[in-house]
Amino acid sequence: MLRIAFSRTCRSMSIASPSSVSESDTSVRKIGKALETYLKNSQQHVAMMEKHRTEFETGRRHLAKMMSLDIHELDQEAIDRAIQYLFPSGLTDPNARPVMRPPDEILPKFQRFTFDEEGKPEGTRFFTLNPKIYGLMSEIGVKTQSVMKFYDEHVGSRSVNRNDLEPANLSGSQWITADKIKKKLSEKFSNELYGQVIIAFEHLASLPGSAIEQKFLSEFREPMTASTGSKLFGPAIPEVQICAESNKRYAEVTTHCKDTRATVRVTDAGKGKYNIDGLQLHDFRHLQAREILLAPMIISQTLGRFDVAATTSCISNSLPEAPNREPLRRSGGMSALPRAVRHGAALCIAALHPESTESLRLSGLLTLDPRKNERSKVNQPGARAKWIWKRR
Amino acid sequence: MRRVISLATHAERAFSSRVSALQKPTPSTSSSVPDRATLEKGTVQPTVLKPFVSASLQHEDLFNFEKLVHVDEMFKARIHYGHKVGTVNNNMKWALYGERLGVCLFDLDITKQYLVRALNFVAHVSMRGGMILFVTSNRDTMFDVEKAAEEVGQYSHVRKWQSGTLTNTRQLLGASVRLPDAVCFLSTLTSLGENHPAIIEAAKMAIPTIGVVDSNSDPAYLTYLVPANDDTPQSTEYLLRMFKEAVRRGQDERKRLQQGK
Repeated sequence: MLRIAFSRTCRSMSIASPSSVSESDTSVRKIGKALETYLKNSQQHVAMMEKHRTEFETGRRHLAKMMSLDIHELDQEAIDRAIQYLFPSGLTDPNARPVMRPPDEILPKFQRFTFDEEGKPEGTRFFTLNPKIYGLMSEIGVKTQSVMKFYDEHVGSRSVNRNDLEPANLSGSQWITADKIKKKLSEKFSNELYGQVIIAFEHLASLPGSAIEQKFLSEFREPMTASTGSKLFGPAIPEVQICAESNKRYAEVTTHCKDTRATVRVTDAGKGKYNIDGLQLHDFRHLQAREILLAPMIISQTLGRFDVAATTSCISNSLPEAPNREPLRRSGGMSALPRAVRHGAALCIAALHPESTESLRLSGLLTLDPRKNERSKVNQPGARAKWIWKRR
Repeated sequence: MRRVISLATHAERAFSSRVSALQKPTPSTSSSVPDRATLEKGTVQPTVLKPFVSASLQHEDLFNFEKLVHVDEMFKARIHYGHKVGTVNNNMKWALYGERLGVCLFDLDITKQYLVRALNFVAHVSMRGGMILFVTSNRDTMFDVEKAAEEVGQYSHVRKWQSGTLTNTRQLLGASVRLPDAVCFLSTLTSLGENHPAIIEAAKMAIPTIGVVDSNSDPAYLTYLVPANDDTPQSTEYLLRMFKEAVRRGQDERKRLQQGK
């Protein structure tokens, strides 16, 4: 044990002793085995990347020739198009499809540490293993303390703006995802640490007086709709528009359920009125229909705030007619028509009232119901039903 | 205690190999390198190696910390408060003056003596360009510790201790890195009252440690002890001020030596 102590301390101290500073030419040999290995790995990585880069460049030239394009015209978009054309893939996951991108973008990055000439790692939190994310947490902690102090000093006094003593206004946005923080800090960390950071942020944002840190907080926020818009099945959340006559915000979307197509328009600052092909809510006699129609407002807690206007039509009617046959008219129905209107209304409310987007999405109201009436089969009375079989 | 001394002597012995070039050779030693027999004897009885240690390390208080540390300042910073009498650790009784209203009180004369010794060690490490890692698990003082370490260009760890941070850097960091040359604990107990896991790891890697030990702390495996209150922000602030000053004095001395060459 003691011998180890002796040799280890000797080694590390020999790096650090003042006398080694003057011998800068031999410093690389003196910085110890640890750093030597690190430098070797680093050089290997650089060589490997260089090799892949030249390979990529050669491949690009070949591709340009194959596609009979000029090499200068072949930018990344053109490469993607060419790869899609040459290797058509039906795989649904985009990550499983063939790609051709510069190696710097797709190959794993080498963990780079910065050392000074004495082999000391850079950064005061280096030994926490996650210096950047812990640095962020400390920054939040220090800001939390300063916000509390600011509030205690200025509460009740008129020397500061009253708005500064309120909690920060974060409506319509959410905390950025773990992936985005990782990209921002260029550091990997566990989900547990992400949870801790979000708890720290939530606590800071909830404090009265956190408005003075609004700018810092909004760096780590993103608009709410942007995140869910792409994931939805069916029509996306529409854009909010402003009515030229009444100067009210509204959103409009077209959707369908079974054979019913509904164009729904929800207007903000209304009185909770319904106008579905001229019918109001109480014209629907079935309680199920009323419940379906009210569901988005109940979920988003906006009963009586929005006006809903909808027109419905039959999808089969708009299809080309089959020869010798009248088109089937099966639109409407006790639940299909209200469900079509419900989906459209929920999408519009998500646009007009972004705070409730997440709850609407979780309750499944933003998802299209793609089910259709199953066609009846030839020589059968229905879709599945068969004629009664009789021996003779 | 003997173990502590032996570790410290070995650390000092290691420094001396380099520093001896800078200092005047001591007249008492015939040669600056011990022969094989002396070295073998030194593994059992480290004091025989003392003549070979450089002059700067023979000095008890090279950086004059005796003048820096005042008992009345320590008293004002509430260094003398320990924990309730019932929680006292048997191995910390040597540093206690007595008890008042059921609370242990430290003998500040003993604390001063040990603090000066620890500061001297910190300054020596800093003079030789060593890395010092400041560690605490106290939630109230963690930001102060981080700030202090940053100010003097040293390292801090105030978060959850990933086991193997010192013993298994290769796996955790993807490359072996230079370890800290000294670890300074501003509190040695975690919130659960257990010893900080870094103490054992530092001992395994033979890294000398400085530990601020309260009356309920376990001083085992720590090289340099500072018996003091580790829970109050004021006392931690005072100790951090002292450690910062020690690091600065070492750095200044280092700069002076480099320019003098």
